[in-house]
Amino acid sequence: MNRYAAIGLVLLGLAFSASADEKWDINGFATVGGGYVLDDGETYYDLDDSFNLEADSTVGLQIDLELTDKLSATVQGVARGGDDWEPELEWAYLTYQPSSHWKIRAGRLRQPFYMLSDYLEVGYAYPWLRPPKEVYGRLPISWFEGVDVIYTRSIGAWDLQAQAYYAETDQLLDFAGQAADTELEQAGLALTLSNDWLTLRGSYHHSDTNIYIPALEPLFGAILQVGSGLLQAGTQLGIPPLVDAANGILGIPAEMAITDKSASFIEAGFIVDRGENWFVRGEWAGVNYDRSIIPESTGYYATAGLRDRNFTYLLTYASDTTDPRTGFSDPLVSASAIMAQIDPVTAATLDALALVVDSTTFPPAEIETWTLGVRWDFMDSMAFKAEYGYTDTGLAKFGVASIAVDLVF
Amino acid sequence: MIIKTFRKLLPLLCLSSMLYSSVVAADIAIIANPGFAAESATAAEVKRLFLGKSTSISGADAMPLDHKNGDAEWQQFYDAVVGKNASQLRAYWSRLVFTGKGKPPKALDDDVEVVSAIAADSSLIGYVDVNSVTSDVKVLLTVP
Repeated sequence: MNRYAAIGLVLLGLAFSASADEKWDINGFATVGGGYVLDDGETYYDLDDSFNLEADSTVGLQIDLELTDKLSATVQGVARGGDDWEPELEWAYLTYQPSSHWKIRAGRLRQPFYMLSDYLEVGYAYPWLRPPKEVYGRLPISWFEGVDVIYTRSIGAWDLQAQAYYAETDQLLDFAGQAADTELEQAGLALTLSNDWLTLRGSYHHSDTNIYIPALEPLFGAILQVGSGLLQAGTQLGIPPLVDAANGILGIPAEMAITDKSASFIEAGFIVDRGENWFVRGEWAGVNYDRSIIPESTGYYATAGLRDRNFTYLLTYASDTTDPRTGFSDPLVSASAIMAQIDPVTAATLDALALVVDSTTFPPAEIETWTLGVRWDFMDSMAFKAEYGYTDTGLAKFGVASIAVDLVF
Repeated sequence: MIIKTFRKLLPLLCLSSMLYSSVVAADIAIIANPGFAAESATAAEVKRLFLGKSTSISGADAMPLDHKNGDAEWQQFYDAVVGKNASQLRAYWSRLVFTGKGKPPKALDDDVEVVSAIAADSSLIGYVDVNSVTSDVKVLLTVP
C-alpha cells in the first residue's frame, strides 16, 4: 500500500474510533455475469470460447465519512472475479470542499479518461452489460495516486463540470500478457457540459511514460550486440553504408522501448436523452504515443436505446482500429543487404533478427461489433442484462453472448 | 390454483388501487421554512435541486429534503417534477455516489417529519401532500 491510501485509511480509522456518531455512509454494488465467444478458438478482448461466469463479476463496497462540513474521506474496495476475487483498493481519498463550486481531492483516484471512468465497475449505473470494449478496452490503468480538482457551476440552463488532475503512477501492469513495471507522470482535463437533455464531454490527457518490459531485454541485448559488431566491422573495413546501418541498429532498442516516451489520449462523447422513451449516445477515444512498439489506436461506439416500462433495448455499433508502427527492422534489412555480398551467414542472421523484431510489434487490427442488448429492471436496485454481439475482425466473424445481474445496495 | 384465484381478484385489486390512488393523489406542495429567502420556485429549479445539480432556489441557498422512496408523495413528486422512475433515479445516483461527486438528499419517513424538520431549518426544501401543510412552513410551488 502506498502513502496516500495509507493516510486515507488511518484517517478513517481515527474518525471511526474517535467518534461513533460522525456521519458516515456505506454503499455497495455487485455484478454477477459473464460471456463467451460462440465460435471455437476465437477470442474477443479478454473473452474466449468457454463461458466464464466470473469474467464480469465484481463486488465493491464504499465508505464515505463526513469529517467536517468541508472535509470528507472515501474508500472503495473492489474484488473482481477475473482477478480471483483479490480485493483491490480502487479509491481512497480525502475531499476538501471549500465552496459548493470547488472540490479538491487527494489520494487514490481514477483518471477521468472516459464518460464512464468514474463508475466502470458499477454495472447498475449504465445501460449496457459492459462498457463497449472497442473503446473501454484501450487503457489498462484503473487508478492513480495524486490530486484532482473538480469545478462545477451552472451557466443558464447548462451545468459545467471541469476536472483536472495530476498523477504519478508506479504500478505493475499486465502488458500484452507480460508483467510490466509502469511509471507514468500524467496530467489531464475533462470537461462536461450538460443540460436537461444533452450531455457533451471531452477530455485530454498527457503522460510521460516508462513501461519497462523485462521480456524484451534479451531481444534488445541481441540487437545491441549485433549492432556493435557491425559497427566495428564497418569501421575496420571502411564501408560507410555499413557504419550507418550499424548505427541505425544500435538505435532500435531505444526506438522500440516504451521508456521516456510521451503519450496523449483524447476522448469525446455525447448523450441525448430527452427523458422520453429513447436515447442515443456515443463516444470516441484515441491514443497516440511517441514512436515505440505501442501502436496508435482509435475506437468509438454509438448506441441507440429504447425504453419500454422496466425494459431498455440497446443497439450498439462499435469500432476499434489499431495502426501499428512499422519499420523498426529497416536498419537490420539494409545491413543484411550489404552483408549479403560479404558474409551470407551474417546476412541470414540479420534477416532472422529482423523477423523477430517485426513479430514483436502489434499486428494491425480492425474490430467492428454490432451488439443487441436488453436491460430489465426487474426489481428495486437490481437489473438483469443480456447481450448478443456480432464481431468482424477482418480475419474472422463470430458471435459473443453475455448475461449479467447488477445490483446496488 | 393460486394464480387462478389471483387472476379473478386482479380486476378487483386494480379497482381498489384506482380508488386508493384517487383518494391520495392530492397536489404536492413544495415547502420551505417561513424564513427562507425566496417566496416561490419553478419546477425546473426544484428538479435541479433534488438531482444535486444546484444548491439554490431563486438565488437563496437551499438543501433538499426527501421522502424515503416508495411512498405516495415520493412517487408523485418524482413522476411530476423530476420525471424519473425509481430505477432511473437509482442509476442516476449510483453514477454520483460511487465517484464522490454527489449523494442523494437526506430522506425522512413521512409528511409530518418533513414539515417539522423544515419548520426547524431555514435552508431545507421539501415536498408534502398539500393537506399536510401547516402554518409552520410556506409553500413555494404546488404541482398536480
